[in-house]
Amino acid sequence: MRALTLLWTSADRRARRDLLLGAQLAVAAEVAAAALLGVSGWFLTSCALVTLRANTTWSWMYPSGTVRALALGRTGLRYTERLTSHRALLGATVALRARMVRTAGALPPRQLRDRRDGALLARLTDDVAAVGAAPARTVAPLAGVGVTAVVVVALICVANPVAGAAEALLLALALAVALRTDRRAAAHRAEAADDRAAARSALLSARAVLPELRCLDAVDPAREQVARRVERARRADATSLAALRTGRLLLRLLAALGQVAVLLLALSGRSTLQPVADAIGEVLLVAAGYELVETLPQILHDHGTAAHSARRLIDLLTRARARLLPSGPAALPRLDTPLVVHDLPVGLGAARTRWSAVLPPGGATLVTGPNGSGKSTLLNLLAGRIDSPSVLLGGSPLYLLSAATVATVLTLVEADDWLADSTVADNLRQAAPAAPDEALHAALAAAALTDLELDAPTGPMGGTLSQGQRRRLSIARAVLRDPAVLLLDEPTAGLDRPTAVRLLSGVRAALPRCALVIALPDQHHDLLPFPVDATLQLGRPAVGAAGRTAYPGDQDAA
Amino acid sequence: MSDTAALLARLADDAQQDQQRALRRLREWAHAQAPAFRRAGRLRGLAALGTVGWAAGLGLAAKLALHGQRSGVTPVSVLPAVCLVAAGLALRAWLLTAGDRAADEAAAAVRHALRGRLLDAALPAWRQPASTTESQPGDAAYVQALDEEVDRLTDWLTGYVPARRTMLIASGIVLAAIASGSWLVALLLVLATPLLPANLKVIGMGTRTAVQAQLTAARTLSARLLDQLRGLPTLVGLGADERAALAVEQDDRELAHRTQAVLRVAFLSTAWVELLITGTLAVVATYCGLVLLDYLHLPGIPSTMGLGTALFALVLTPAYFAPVRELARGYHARAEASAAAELVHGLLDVTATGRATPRPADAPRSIHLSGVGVAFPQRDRPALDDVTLTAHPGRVLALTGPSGAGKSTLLAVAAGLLAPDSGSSTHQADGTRQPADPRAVSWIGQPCHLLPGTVRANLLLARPDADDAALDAAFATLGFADLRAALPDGLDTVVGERGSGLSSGQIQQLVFVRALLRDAPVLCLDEPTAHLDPDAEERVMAAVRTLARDRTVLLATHSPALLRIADTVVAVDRGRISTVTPYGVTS
Repeated sequence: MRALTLLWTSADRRARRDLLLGAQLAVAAEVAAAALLGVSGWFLTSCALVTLRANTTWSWMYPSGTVRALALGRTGLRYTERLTSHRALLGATVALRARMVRTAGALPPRQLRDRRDGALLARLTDDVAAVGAAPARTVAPLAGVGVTAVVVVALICVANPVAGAAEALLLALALAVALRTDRRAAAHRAEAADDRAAARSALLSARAVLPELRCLDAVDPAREQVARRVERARRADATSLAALRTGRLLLRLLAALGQVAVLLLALSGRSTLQPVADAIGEVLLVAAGYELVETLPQILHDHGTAAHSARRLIDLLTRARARLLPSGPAALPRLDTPLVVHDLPVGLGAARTRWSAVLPPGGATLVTGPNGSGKSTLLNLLAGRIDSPSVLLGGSPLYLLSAATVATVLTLVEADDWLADSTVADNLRQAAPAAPDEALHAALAAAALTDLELDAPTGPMGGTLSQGQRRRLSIARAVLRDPAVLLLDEPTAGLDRPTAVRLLSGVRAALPRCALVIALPDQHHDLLPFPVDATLQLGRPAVGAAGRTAYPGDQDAA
Repeated sequence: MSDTAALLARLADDAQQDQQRALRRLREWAHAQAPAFRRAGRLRGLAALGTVGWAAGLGLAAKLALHGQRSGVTPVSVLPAVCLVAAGLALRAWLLTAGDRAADEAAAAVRHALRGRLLDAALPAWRQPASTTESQPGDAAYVQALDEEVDRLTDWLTGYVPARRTMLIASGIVLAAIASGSWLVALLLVLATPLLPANLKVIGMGTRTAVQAQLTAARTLSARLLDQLRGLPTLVGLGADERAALAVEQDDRELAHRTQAVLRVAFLSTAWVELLITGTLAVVATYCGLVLLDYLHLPGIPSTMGLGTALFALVLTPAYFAPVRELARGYHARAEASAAAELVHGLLDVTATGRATPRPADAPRSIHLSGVGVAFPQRDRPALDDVTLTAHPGRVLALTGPSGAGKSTLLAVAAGLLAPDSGSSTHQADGTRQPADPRAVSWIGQPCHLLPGTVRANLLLARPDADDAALDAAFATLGFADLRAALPDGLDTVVGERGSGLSSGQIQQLVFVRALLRDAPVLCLDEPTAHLDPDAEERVMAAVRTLARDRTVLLATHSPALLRIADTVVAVDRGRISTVTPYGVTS
């Protein structure tokens, strides 16, 4: 149900109409399929009866026409149903995926960073596909099964109420069996999933210590440990499959019972002619109905998968919404208000101090320190990507402002910033979609990057460019934003000294009103070709402080 | 339109070479369980006997009821027919369940065997040092393969592998049964069969719903999607996230459009098959009806038929086509399985070669590196370049230098974990030289990890026969008695995933205890104090000094304090030894 709600709320009107239409067509097609078999049997028996009684008033044209109409109708209905529901499905999936991409943009930056590679992609592809498939895999078949069962029971009730009641009872029983089977199988599957997760983490741990294990000559016991968990998962899987098989066996036996019941009840105790034909038709209807009921375990299983995926997607949505809700003051801060830092803890470990400053327009602040002294963390704090009450813009903490507001005021260029797998021009236009080519050239010139054509490809993660080119391209992109505050993390890495100086003075000249914060490693701080208002020297991390910050649970955030 | 044609060709093109290779591999893996799969196919095929029994029962019931018309039908008079119906259905149910069971078990066995091989490849026992030239798949690839990729074979194994046999047997049985009732109906069915499109896989794509096609299409999109997702923090910072979302949506929509064009073709061919089946059913029904009405008088065509026979032939008609549709449905499972096979096979490929040798003796040994060079692929400068070095028992040799200088690589080569691309790494014990063997080495890497389990289990990895007293003694020898006391549940303290539950300092010290228990003649330490506070560093230094007494110690470190316990300090820079300083501190 969750999956459906999610899909329904994401779909546009046309997709919704298609979803409904698809379900109706599916129902009609299933009913037509069952009717085809039933009517055919009834028709044959009637023919035989008519011949037996030499009844000349009975016309074979109508029933035989019905059979052909049902045959054609069923095929046509099924074809239209497939086209309609898949059009709906594709449309709804696209809408849902777009909604999830937007949601992901609103996630807290830390979570985004943790998830952006594997987990988020899995959400956006596999989970969205599973939810998108829900109507075609669960709703349409379920509606088909349900309506066929109701129609069959109703028809039998009209002909023979006792047989109808018996069929209704048996079908209810079949439903209960299918549900119970699904519950049991799902429980064992969950058990298997737990064991598999344990095997997964055991394997990862063992891989992490593989050199130690080799030296200890203990690879075999470690592998045994993983293998034991894999074996447990296998056993749970086997139990789950056995439960499914038993369920299907029960459903098939119930089908036998249902057909026997209707045969006995409909054929016995009647002396009129027509009921023989009716009885045969009814048995065939019941047979067709049970053939559909047999698919219930698979449908329920697909439903479970879709529900799981939907839960994960909804979790992502609520997480992002929670981030969006406390949207802070309604009034946008004026663009020329300076960024204020008040008592911000900087540095790591024993070298931790507190820093207060106002970053004035046109000013520059230099941050230096050895690797791992917290320069990047500081820039992330200043950019509002790490929540901190100490960084203020227009009086309100930066992290409470919407990402869009922050983006209009400041731009951070990370040490190895992302570049789109596209062209130089496309990358630049992400900052300024409407910029003419001259503006792009100017920005490239400001970043001392004049040797690149605008239509040069950048490759995945900027792979076709050199490190220095990548860095200068991402800085040129930031220059195009014309931000009030520009934060540059190690802009000179991979550059020779003359180019580095040209880059820094180019940026200063291109953005005269901008408050610059530049992080440079110790050996480069003499490169700055312009005076700075303040220099923040971050100390060497004391022994005992982890140089690279580890956050518990990071690896498993996926 | 040409795009669509290309996509369709790619989706449907079975002749593609990789697909053929993947299929060969799949068949190879399934081959071990071939008898079980054959049995599954046979059982499922024989289930058609039950269907025939059911149809015969229905025909009989109609006949009995018709003849009993005058005298009245009693439950007893139709009982034989009812019994036949019930028996047929029960037989079918039982055979199908037995067939499913055989298929499930065989598939589970195939998956299990593959998982075992994957584990062997992921955690290979030491045979010979790994070479840098073969690319090592990442941890995530193994986990992914063990977990999900192997499971992707399931549908193919249980559904498709036995399906051909099932189809031959089931369709054969049904056709023979129909022929025994009415040869003309059988002839009709045989004539209809070639009209099924030869290209069954197109039907398969359609029948198992377009969801799969959408999934395939989504994967081609995913490279772009991944690119955008990686860039999301940057895009948000540039205020360009909404535009990116729109771009993704547009791509997605275009792809959906193309997918739908493909599906229309697939659905059309499915519809053709369904039309053929339902149409045949309608023709059979009309023919039988006309014969029963005695309206049909054509030369060469039987003009009489009993109701029982007619009904029998009618209800068996769909059963004749059912296995063919089942087979067609298996094509998407095959595509999925061959994609997974590529991935799994790539991992199995890198299994280490070489023979297992007996564990070396624990005699003191010296390490000799001569002219060692190591180059990692995709790096412009070699990690080690012509390094010659000797380390002697009872001495501490410290390696120092900036990060990335090649210290860890040098340690790995000296321990025999990594094969040098040029030069040699040997150990000398009792006057004989042999290739470096990690089993003579205690390795303390960086960062230190423990396996999930208890502290005791982790320590016993080093010496499986040690009792608790020996473990306690090891703690005491290294001066870690207070650590032993601080463990909340003593030796039974449970270590979680990646050592969670203990501090990194505690884990480090436990690894030292393990090294002592191991009692190997060589000790390799990679930055043993990198994450420790001064107090813990002091304790580790003392422990190193204890361990160094009669062992050969190689130590890579930045810490000036730790350098003080070294006998020789070797400075490494850009893969070369720059200076060798004898410290001569032995106090």
